[in-house]
Amino acid sequence: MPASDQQAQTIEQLLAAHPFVVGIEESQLRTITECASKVVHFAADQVIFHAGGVARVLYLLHRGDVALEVIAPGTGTRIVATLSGGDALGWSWMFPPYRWAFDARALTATEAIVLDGEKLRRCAEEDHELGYQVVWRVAREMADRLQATRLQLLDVYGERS
Amino acid sequence: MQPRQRILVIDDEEVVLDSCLAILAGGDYETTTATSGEEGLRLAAEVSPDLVFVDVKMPGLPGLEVLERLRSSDPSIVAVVITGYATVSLAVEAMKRGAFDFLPKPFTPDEFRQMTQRGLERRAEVLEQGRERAAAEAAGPLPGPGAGPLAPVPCRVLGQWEETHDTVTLALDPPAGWRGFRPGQFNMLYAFGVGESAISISGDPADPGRLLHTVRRVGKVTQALAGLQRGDVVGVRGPYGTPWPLGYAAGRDVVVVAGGIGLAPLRPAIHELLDNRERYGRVLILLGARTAADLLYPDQVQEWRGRFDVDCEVTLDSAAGGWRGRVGVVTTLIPRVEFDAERGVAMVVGPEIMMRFAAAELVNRGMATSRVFVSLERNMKCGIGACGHCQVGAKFVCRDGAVFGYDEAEALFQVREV
Repeated sequence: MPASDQQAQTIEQLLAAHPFVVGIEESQLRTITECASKVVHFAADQVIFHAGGVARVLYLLHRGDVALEVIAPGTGTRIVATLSGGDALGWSWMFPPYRWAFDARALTATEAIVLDGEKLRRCAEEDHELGYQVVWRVAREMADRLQATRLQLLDVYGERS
Repeated sequence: MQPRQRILVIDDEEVVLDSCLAILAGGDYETTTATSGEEGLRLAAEVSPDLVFVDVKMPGLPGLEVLERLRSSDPSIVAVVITGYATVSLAVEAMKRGAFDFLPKPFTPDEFRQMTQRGLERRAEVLEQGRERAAAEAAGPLPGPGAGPLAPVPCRVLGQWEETHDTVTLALDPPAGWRGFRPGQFNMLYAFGVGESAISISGDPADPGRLLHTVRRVGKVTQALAGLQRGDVVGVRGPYGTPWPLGYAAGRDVVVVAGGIGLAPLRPAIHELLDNRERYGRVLILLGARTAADLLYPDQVQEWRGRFDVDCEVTLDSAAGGWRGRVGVVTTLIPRVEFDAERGVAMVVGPEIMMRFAAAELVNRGMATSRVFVSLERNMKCGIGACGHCQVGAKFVCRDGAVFGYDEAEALFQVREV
């Protein structure tokens, strides 16, 4: 269902300022805006999605903090990373089997723009220039997080450091 | 004629105050009493006491808060904490906040007299050290006692407390002739019979009464140092090394990035930044730790986070579900905070890998490598550039550093340890 004019304007403004789309061409931004369905709010501690659930959307966080968590038997819940305003949350809508890999939970009151992942995928397939821009941005965020994860895995503050 | 020494006793129980007055009545003291923390602080500002006894549990301002405010307005004040609820954790907390000693209630007249005597002797020592420091023409390493620059000066341990499961802070009585230190400098601490290790000075440079070193147990020497108790003696040589560029940083934004035990050598710089807050632009303190239990100085970090004139962010490498803060390596905080990268200065300490990635993020934000400062610690043995153990390329880390601009350090990071 298309968003109302007022909300669409708000989404457009929020989107245009989000780091994920900074530098993108106007026509491409228009297409991405058409994929934006709404702005959502999560209260502190509210679960945004659960691991294993169907991943249909990309959240562009506008404000707030979100924890990516995993629950392991015996060790309880572990937070693997936190994201904040300006970050993109969730890649699982891009790749089969389109299932969330982690739980996401708001740590503080959080506001996010919701992009329809299936629609964005279709647009990217039809317009490869747009597809390149989207995938390039996703790859950049993934590279940053991969580097940070490698540093975490090194356990640099551990016994031998 | 020597002026009479002034003693202030702060306790909400009138009977305790009357007893203290009676015990000290025969001595050559001016004794003042206060029945609340607020009144005690007001009287302290009026009479400038040499020694303060402060009760922990009082209505209104708690005793530990009074202690902290007294010490922050005059770090040379000697304060003794008295309480009817003596516990080890309370004693440690009082010591952390700068208490000289701890007197459990009820106490006998003799115990109170002895504590008064010791407190006033301590005060005399602190004032003498302050005079020596003021008289010193320039700060420099302590001379050994007539036996050359490698001879340590014996120094008494005033107290020690556990910071984390593997890290301890030692409070030392500054040795005779100690002329203070500049943030970023280190001492060589000698555990007699075991060996010597370079340990950063981690306390407040404005506190002349005690010398703090935070020691992580990683080898035989640091194990021995961490095992020292109140009254033990340790050998001290120093202070050595180049300081953090706090003068150069004046008028600029300052980004402090600390990972793990790296906060210890940066804490004196943070003290100086916050004590002279108006001299600097934005001050950002970005801290990383392995887990919440590994975060150094958590109470102080909490205090920094509560200040409106400082941005203090903490991130953990690993956290359980209840953690409300950030998770991720400390370098991920750098792109998220606001500072003037073109003119700002950064001070970074942590494991070398962390410092490399932190420097890369800072440079990515537009900061010149010459304004990113890091502290290297590599096998320092002699502290004076004589033995060559810490030589990296053409540099001796102990003599030419340990604080380097990243424009120099970047090349040193590429040199593998020998």
